[in-house]
Amino acid sequence: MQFIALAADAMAAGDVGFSNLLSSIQTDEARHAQQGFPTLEVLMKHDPERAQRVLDVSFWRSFRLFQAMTGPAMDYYTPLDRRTMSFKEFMLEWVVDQHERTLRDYGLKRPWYWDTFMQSLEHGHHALHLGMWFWRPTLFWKPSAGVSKAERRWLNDKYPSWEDSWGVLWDEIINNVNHGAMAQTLPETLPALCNLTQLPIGTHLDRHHLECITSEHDGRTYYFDSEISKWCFEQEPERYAGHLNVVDRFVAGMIQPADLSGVLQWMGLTNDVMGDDAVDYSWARDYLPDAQLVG
Amino acid sequence: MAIIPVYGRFVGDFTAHLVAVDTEDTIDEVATKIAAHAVGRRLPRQPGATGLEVSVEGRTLAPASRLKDFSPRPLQWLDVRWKW
Repeated sequence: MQFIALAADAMAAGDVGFSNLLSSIQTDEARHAQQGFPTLEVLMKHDPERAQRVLDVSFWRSFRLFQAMTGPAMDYYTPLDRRTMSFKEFMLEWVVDQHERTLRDYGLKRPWYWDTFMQSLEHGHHALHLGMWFWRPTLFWKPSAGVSKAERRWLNDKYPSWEDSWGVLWDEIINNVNHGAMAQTLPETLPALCNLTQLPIGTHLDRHHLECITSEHDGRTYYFDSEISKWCFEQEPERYAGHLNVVDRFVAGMIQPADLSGVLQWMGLTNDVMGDDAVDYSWARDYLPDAQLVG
Repeated sequence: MAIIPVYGRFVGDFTAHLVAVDTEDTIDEVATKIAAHAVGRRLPRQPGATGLEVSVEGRTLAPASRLKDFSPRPLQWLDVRWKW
């Protein structure tokens, strides 16, 4: 579905080649999707408990990646006058409602963590966006901050708790940008990463719900962004246990020099391609006192 | 004297950070190193606060003690918060 929309956007922008590429990808993805339902049907017939478990694990893992890729694009990167719905509204209409119907059709229940998933729709992608923007040198694209005053009003309208959870953090960044303290708007280290989703710990909900969640396996401590990710890990620890996330590789000495410049080098990001603010921080001028604007 | 990586979370920030600390560091020094990644970057300074405190698994650590006194493991999670 996302590829159809992207293909339409590319065509509208006159990029026929990219539009065709996206359409081609869409047909391939649609074929994969068609295979899922018959597979699920067979699994439900022979081992319904396993079917439910597989669904619960895969839904969360897929959602977290989708949240990282689509949430910031919809609620921060899309120009305000082109937004037709928020990421949360999109998820509720196109995923939650349809997904629930599909589950019922197959005799499956909603994943056990449904309430937390719904809560994550309110918060998770705002955390991921803030993280991506702050760690922008680690990106290969230029992220839009998307927090001008008008955009902020829209965010508060769509997400009533946005100001308390996220606005206060952006205020400090805005203050630094407007005082020229750019070093304070950039990272000097890595965020803690989840050993299941690979995403920063703290990005499934908001700052008021951040907690340390761990699991021990074969003498190693694994860290998770949520009780859900921990549960997924513990269903099949041998599937995930050997993997080292970026922080683990850093700590193991596999990334040199052992600082952020080493990480960027390891990621292949040089000054000419690494991310920076999409519009050269012009959005922050919204917050300057009028006198400074006139000056 | 040994450098050890920990996960430091300044309470109120949205994520924790990988922070290199020294086992000879006092807890106050550890708190300052962790706070540097959050305070003044996403959290405002609090002029009314009397300092910082560090806790591990809910236990507050004595500010003048040294990190080595509680034998932290690599990637030990430490919470730092304002002291009022």
